[in-house]
Amino acid sequence: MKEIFFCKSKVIFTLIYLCIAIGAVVFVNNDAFLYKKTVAEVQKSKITDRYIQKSQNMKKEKYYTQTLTVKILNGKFKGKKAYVTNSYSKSEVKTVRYEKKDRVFVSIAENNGDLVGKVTGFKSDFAVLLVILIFIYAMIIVAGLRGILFLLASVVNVGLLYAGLDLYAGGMDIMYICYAMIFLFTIVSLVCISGLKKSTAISITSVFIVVAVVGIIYKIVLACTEAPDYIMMEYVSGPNDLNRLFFMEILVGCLGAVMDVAVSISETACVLKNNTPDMPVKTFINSIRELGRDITGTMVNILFYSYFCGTVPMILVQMKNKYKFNYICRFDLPFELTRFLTGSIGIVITIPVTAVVAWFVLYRMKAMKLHSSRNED
Amino acid sequence: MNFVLFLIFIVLIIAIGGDRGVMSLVALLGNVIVFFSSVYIMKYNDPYKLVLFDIVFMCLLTLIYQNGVNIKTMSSLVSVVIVAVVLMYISKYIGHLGNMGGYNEFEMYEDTLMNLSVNIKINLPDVAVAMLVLGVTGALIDIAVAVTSSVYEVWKNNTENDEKTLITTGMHLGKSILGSTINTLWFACVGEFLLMFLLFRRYEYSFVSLINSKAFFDIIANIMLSATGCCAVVPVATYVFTKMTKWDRFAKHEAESTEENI
Repeated sequence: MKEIFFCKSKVIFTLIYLCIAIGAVVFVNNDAFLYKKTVAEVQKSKITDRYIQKSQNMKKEKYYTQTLTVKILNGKFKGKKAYVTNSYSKSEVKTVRYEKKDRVFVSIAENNGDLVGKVTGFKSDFAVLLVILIFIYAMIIVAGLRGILFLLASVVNVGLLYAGLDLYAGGMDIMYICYAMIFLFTIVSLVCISGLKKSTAISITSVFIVVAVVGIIYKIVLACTEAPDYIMMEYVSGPNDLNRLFFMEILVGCLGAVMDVAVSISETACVLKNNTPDMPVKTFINSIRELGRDITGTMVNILFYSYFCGTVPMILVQMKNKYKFNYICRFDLPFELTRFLTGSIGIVITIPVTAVVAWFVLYRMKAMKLHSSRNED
Repeated sequence: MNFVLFLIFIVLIIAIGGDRGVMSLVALLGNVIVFFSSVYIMKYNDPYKLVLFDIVFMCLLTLIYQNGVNIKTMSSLVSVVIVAVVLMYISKYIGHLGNMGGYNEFEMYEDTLMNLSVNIKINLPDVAVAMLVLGVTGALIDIAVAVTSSVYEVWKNNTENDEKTLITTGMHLGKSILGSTINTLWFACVGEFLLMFLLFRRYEYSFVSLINSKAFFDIIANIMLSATGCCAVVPVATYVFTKMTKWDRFAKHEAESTEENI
């Protein structure tokens, strides 16, 4: 067991990676000189005041005021100590509690020889670096070469997303960007995940068909029923083309799940056909259907949890404000629900679509080839 | 409109999935009920314990209810719970380092949230960490089941139970499904936060302000930590399975069931 988990190449990789990671961590830990804003490190924090605040819904809550002694790390006050006050509530919804070693942005003024001021923001670049480093390490150590390919695909995808947003900001029509992005996302991800082979072609084709079908179903349902109130969506920046943006969100959101199902089905289909080349069509379709039934349940669960967990903090805040659960469901959850339902519909129809595409590629195209070669003879 | 979509979904899943489709619908319904009732109870409770309970319940529902008690489901359950607990500790630490949870800079000024009282007596950073772990559990179960079932196939056909073969099989299968599962999470996330990315673009965030933005950290910590959990569950599930094959109970159980089959 040891030789697999601790083989030589993994140990060497870990050592090299550790060196790079430590270098990066040390650099980011000391990058205050790159910032224009004043950066400070909290050295001491002391709670100087406690009070209870009542809000309009008569809820009481404990508030604390803390006095922080911070050491300034850049700018003209570099190296000096300053005193900063900050108040936070127990639930930390809008306020933040700072502790020793936290890095913060401060605005500082001189007052009778002392430096005082207030905190303007939290410096989170170190934590961003840390999560990325941990993920890259885990991915490569577990998945090896495939992990590296996957990381490559992710980087390309992020670049594509950035380029797409750039084009949108430049005034281009969102629908063209959306279709182009779905096209490129699918090809890049699938080629990097499963390599250049026949099953990849099958899954790419079926993903395109499924996304088109999901889009059509959504459009038909939208035309027949009342449209949701898009202005209630989170992070709305302008009221102009929200319906099209939401359509794009739906298509991109279901893309990952559809790809996952399509890849597992098409790979199994190719393996089945390779192992028993003269398998009857009926057995072939039946085994694919069986596989599809196995994976639908868990895939739908993944989508449900990954969409709805993000909304819980907001639901909690609203419930604490005595909003009725009905109200929350009607006004805040419909978008999540639509995303989840369209994604699930996508997952379910991927199974027959991929089965048909695989049948076409593995059975019909072969028959057509045989036919044409016979004609040539 | 959601109702019509829901009807379409039900019709499709029953038409294509048959009785298994009905079964996964029941499991989904159970998950929905557990999820919303735990959100309701969370008003009064510690989110961590509640989420741990949720995770175990979810495993019971998706693993035991749909696949029965056997070495595959038991080892998946154990490994999912182990990974979830460890991930919870790591996320709590990193969430604290990066100030995760609470309103981000866009929500702070959003109309619908502006007139809500923020005195809620629940620590929102804790809720955010708990929800991160709960959100990835579905993916953890998916991977753990795939890994343990493939190892199980090898173990069943191999009387000598060579540990090395089992581990290699598990890791190999893990490699092949890891990418597509993480892709599911990543595209779901892009779909959910597309408008926020547009906001980043509209307010012309520079690189420096982006990596120090609260909204950005919330998203990236969510994706990266979830993906790390997915990676971690592959070796853990393989290891737990190989350990469990040594238990008499499962070995005996296995022998009996193969005799029955014969």
